[in-house]
Amino acid sequence: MNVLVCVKAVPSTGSVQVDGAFRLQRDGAKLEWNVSDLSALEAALSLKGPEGRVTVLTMGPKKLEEPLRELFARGVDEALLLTDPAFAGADTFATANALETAVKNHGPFDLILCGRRAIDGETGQVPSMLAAALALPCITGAERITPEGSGLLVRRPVEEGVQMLFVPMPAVISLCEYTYSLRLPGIMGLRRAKGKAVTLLSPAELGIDKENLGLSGSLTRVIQMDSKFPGLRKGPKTDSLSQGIPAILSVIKEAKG
Amino acid sequence: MISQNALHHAEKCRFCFMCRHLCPIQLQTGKEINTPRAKGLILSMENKGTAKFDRDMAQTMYECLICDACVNDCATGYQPPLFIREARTEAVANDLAPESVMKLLENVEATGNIYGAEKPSFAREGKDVLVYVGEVAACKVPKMAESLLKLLEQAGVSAKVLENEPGSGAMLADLMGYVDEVAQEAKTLANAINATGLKTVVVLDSYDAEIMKQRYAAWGAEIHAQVVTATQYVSDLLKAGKIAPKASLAKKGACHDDDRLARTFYEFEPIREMAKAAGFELVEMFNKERLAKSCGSAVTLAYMPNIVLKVASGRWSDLLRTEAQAILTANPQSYLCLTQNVPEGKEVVDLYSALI
Amino acid sequence: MQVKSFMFDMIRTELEDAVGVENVSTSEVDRASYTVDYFWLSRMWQDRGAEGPKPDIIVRPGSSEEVSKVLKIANYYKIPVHTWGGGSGSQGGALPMAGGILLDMKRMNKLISIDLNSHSITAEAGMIFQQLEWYANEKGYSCMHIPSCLTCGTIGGALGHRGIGILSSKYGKIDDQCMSMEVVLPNGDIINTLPVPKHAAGPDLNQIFIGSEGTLGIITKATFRLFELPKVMKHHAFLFKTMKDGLEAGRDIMQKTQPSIMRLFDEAETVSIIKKIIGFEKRGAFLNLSVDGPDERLVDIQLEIIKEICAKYGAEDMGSEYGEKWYQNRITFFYPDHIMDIPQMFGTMDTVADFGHVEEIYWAMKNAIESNFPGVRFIAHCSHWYGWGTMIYDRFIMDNPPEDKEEALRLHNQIWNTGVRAAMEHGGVINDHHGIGLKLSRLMKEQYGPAFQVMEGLKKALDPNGIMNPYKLGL
Repeated sequence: MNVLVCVKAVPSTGSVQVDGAFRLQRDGAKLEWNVSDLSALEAALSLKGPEGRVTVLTMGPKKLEEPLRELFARGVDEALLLTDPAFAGADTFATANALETAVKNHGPFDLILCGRRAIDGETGQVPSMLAAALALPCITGAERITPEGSGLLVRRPVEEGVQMLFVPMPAVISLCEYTYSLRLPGIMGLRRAKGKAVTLLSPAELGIDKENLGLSGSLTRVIQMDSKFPGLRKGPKTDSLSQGIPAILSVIKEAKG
Repeated sequence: MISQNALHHAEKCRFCFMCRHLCPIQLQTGKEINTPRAKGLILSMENKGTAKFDRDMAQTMYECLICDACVNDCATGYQPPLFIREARTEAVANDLAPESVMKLLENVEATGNIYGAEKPSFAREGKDVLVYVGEVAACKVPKMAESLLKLLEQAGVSAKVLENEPGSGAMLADLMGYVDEVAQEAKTLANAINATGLKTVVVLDSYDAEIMKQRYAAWGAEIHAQVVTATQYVSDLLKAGKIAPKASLAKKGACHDDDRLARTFYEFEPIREMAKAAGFELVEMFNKERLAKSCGSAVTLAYMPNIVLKVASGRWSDLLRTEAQAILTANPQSYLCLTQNVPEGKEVVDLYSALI
Repeated sequence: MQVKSFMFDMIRTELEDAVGVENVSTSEVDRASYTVDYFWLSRMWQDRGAEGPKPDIIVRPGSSEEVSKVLKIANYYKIPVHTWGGGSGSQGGALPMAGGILLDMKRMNKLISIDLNSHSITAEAGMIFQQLEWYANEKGYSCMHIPSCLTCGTIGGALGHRGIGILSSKYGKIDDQCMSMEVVLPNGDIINTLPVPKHAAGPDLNQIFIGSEGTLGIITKATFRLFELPKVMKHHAFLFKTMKDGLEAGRDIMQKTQPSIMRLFDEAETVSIIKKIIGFEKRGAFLNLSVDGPDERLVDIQLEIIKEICAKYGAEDMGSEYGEKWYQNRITFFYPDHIMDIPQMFGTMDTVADFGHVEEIYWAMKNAIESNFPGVRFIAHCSHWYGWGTMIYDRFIMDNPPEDKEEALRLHNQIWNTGVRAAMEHGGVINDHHGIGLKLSRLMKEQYGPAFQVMEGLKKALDPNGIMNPYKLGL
């Protein structure tokens, strides 16, 4: 199976600073792969089979080259990085358009996997938009994928229970976070990874007009972002578990009235 | 290829001097490079292109016990062992690891343990708990394993030990970081434990317990049984009156909190309960519990014996400033390191044997 | 570039013979680990991907005799010798600017004796100070030298830079606490200062070597006073309307009582750092202090007097909570993400003056820096008090320094020159307890005037070849 996985580098929640106007400062923040994308990646690695290939695709700054190379060590065969200032500021529509072009240029793929949503924007729109642009069937929020005949059987949790859906290939499926735990890099994988390079793609190489990219290709604009300062932590502090647990319990009980 | 996360920790540690006083290897070698800061600094330099990841750099990354003293000290939560382990992965992947380390890796490949010898079997059938002996106790401190099993038998606990007990991955993880090969070993052991259907695994070596409890689940190697340290388990048996305390020995002893009990499990009481039950009058070394100075680990003793002997002497010097005649431990790795150079008139006591 | 030649290896074998083969290194990683200390410039240099000052050869002596041998070799070949303890100095004092030999002292970390009759403790100078403190604590005593770098620096580092701890207002500086020392002179002679510090046998030799930053010799052993660990310590905080009120109250407190800790923060620090760490939300000049002693009665009566003094200067009594919080967090301030770090540019000017000048100096420095350097903030607190004056822990902070490393270096030095000159012009002294190092070396002659010839004379007499820590301390 030839699988494509779309991944996004998001600021690590612990390293994001908030400025005086309560805006996230992304510049100094440490980047990490979005958590549900890691599930998608592991799903791809376990589904591809001995003859299969896994390609990862991402859009972002050139400094993502190194983190992408780490993924080679975990079994990824090819990595595509869409990088150019023209891609910056893209909303979900412009992102899906850029990804679609890359898929058409580097495909065909039997299966396209994504995380169900990115923890920074939390829109969850890109997988469906990408499927629409490629005219492929789409299942969002999956937790398990099993090959079934010529297609895939997909388990999808919903509020009332679990759906079991069959989908023919090719298809786009987005995965919930923590459903597949990404394998560690192995020593052999690390050795193999040394010879590999990330493929950098610019708008020119993809043959897309810059008008359709980034901020200018976006349908939406962020006008303002606000957050409420949570206030300083108060209350007693203890190092002792035997004192701490009853203290927390009594706070919960009080809050419940 | 150090991960971005590890590099972030290295960048934060590179200009921070706060924990150097706790590094047992720094204290013995006096080298600036053997401070958590310096190791972070050179990895940062390597990333910026002002230093080269060569054999010397790899060597310094192995001059660390991964005892977590620095992690325990950090008020912000940065973890030097995180980047040190990844640097070891880098060293092995690039054939830059010290020869003594490569020899141990070859041993693991050939025999499943770092000693390159067949691991003595403690296999037996039992229906109450599974006891995980671990390779250090099995190969180097068998008496401790025998005593634990005997103690359980006396307490009426029917203990099973696996035939061909698989490795836990703790040794490999120290030798080459958290890599897929370690996760595979973890899965093998988790499957073997799960296949017994027993509800409790009593782990003799806290270094094994650490990796099982802290890492396995994230690697998809979940153990369905409850993992408990043997010290906690035995101390519970003492409390329940299943093990009878011994008469007073009229001898003073100080408990050594091993690295994992001290800084992973924060488990301090059980070994002290065991020591009291064994008849010792307890005294304390000044640096105890979370601040207990490491005496070395089995894997570091195997690949850098000269340094670890000095580290063990460092712990002995703490004991020599007390009135204790004996240093008391329930960890096979601590036992192994401390018995390498026992000062005149002092002894190392294995608390399981002392309770029989 | 590493020096590699026939002669280099000849000297290397001599050094190996002196201290043991395993205690000499020329490896690249070892050399790299000494290129950065706590000095902002060395950190910025590393951060910008530039190569820092490397020693050519690292020597780790295990005894005073070995130090002596190394200095004899260095003097014969006229090789620079830089002494390195914890490497945590903020003034660039340990950086191997001239290459040559780096003497890493940390192997010399043995406890020599504890004398419970005289209340003193003696140890080798490469010991991290926290270790010495632990040895004292084990016996129920303390050196009462508790700097923020307690766990970072060595005994030699504290002495070499004439350091201070947070309890100094009562227990003094390192030069008050040190009774005697063993020093290896540049010619290799091992000397001892007199057994006790107070005598009329001429000037106190201790005070020649304390603060000499490795330029006159190498301190190898030292004896310190021991204090019984106090049984009671109480904390309290006050809020003054102005820094001036706080300074006057501080002066009176020092005259009439003996707090061990006293820290007065200007409004800029009160509303930033104090708020961030202990959650204090008001404007004004925050003062926290601690009084300790062997008996609660002694502590309580002093606190009563302190409260009366503060009330006289219109302070709001903030109770014990904030003082306790500050005390609990006193070390947290110094860990990554809690303390200022690259990419910010910052520096601690650390000026000391008598009460008659201190307020004037504070304003002169603040104005000089903020008016000459747009984008640079100036914040300050007074953290160490004497009967005659106090020090100003004055810091400048620039959030967006130049990207270019040479430009950043020049701007950094211009800010320092401006701030320190403003202090000196108004009666302040260049530094209280961080030392001079490389950072302030160029300003020493301005500070001393013709008096500096005394220091130059000492240098010439003791180190005629100028091998000891070149470019530091203005020598």
